[in-house]
Amino acid sequence: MIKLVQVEKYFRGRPALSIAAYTFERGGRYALMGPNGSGKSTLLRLLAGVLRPDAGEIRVEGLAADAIGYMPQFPYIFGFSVLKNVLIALPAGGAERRTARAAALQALERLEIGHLAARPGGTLSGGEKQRLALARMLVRPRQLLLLDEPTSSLDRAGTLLAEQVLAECARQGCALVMASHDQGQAQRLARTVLLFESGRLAGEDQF
Amino acid sequence: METLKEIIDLLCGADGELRLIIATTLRMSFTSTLIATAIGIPLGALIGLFAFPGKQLAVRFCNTLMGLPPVLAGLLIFFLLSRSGPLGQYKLIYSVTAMVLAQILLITPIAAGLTQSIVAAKAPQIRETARGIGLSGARLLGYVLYECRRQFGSVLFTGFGRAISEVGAAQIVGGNIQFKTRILTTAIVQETNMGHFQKALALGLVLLVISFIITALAQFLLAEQET
Repeated sequence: MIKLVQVEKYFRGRPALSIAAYTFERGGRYALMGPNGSGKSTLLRLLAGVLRPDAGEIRVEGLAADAIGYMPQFPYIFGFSVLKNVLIALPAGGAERRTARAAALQALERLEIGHLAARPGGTLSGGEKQRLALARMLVRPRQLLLLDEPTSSLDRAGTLLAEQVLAECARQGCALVMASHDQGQAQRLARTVLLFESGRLAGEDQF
Repeated sequence: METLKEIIDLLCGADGELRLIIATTLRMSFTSTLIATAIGIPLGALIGLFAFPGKQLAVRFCNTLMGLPPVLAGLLIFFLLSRSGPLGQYKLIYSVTAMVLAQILLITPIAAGLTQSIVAAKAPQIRETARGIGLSGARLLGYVLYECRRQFGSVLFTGFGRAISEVGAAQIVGGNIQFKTRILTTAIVQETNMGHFQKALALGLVLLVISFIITALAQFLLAEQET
C-alpha cells in the first residue's frame, strides 16, 4: 500500500529519519514506538504528505488522497463550533451537503461528544479536543489512518473509547499506523510494532 | 484655552472649511484603508499560509514595501496620473481619488506584511491538520482568514492610522487644494509654513481626537463581536 525506498529526511542538516526499505501493507495495523525524537512523528508526517523526503521515494499505491486520514500530535481546533469543526472535513457542496450534518453528528456521537456540538472549539479541554480531532478524521470513510499519539490527552475511559473506535475501523479493513508510547495500547491495537531509535528503524515485532 | 477656542471657531466657521477638511480626511482614510486591506489581507494570508517557489522573496519584498517612503509613493502615483503619464487621460491628478490611490500603495504592503506574519504563526499547525482531513485551497484560506479575524482588527487600525496621519503622498498627488483636496495633515503643514502655529496646533488636536474616537469605536465593536 505504501512503499518507502531509501527515504531520508533532514532538519537543518541533521538526519531525522533514514529508512532503507519498508512496506506498509493494506489493512495492516502498525504501532511506531521509540523515545522522543526517534523519528516516529517525522515518518507519519512523511506518510501523510505534510513533509517531503529529502532523498528516496514514498510510493502510495491504490489509495486516493482523501482515503488517508492523518491526526497530528497537536491537532488544530478552529474557533467555530464543534459541529462545524467536523463539517469542514466533508465536501462543501453538492448532494452530499444534505447528509453532511447527520454524518458529522454521528461522528461526534461515536466519540461521545455529541452534546458538545454547539460549543466553540476553543472552549474544549485537551481531551475533548483530541476526541473532536478523531471524530473529524473519521467522519469520512478512510482506508489508512495515520495517528500521532492519538490518546495522549485522554483519560482512561476516553483512551479505551478511542481504542474501541479505532479497532472498529481496523476490523472494517482500515489500515492503522500509530505512534504511541503506551506498550499496552500498541498490543491492543497493532499487529506489528516498529521500534525506532535515533531516526532509524531498529526493530520489528509481530503480535 | 487659546487652542480650544481656535478649534471651536474653526468648527463653527461660517465657510465650513474645517468640516469639509475633516470629511475629506475621513473619506480618503476610510476608502483607502478598506480597499488596501481588502487586497492586502488575502494576499498576506496566501503568502503566510502556502508554500511556493519564491515565497521568501515575496516576504522580503512585502517587508521592504512596508517601509515605502510616502513621498516616493506619492511620486509614483503622480507620474502615473500626471497629464503625460499612462493614466493621464483620466484627469485624476489633484483629486481625492489620487490621494486614495497613493494611500492604497502605502497601506497594502503594510496589511499584507502584518497579515503574513499573523498567519505564518498559525500556519504550520493549521496546514498539518488541514492536510490530515483533506481540507485545501480556497476553503482552507477562508477558514484561516476567519480564524485570524481578531488579529485583523489591528491590521485595520494600523492601516487607518497610516492613512489618516500621512502627509507626503497626499500633498504631492492631492496638491492641498482648498475646498477640494485639503485634508487635516496637509492643512497643518500649510498653517505651520504660514506661521499660524495656534491654528496648526488646533488642527493637530482635531486629528488626534478623530483618530482616538475611531480607534476606540472600532475596538469597542470588535470586543462586542467577541462576546
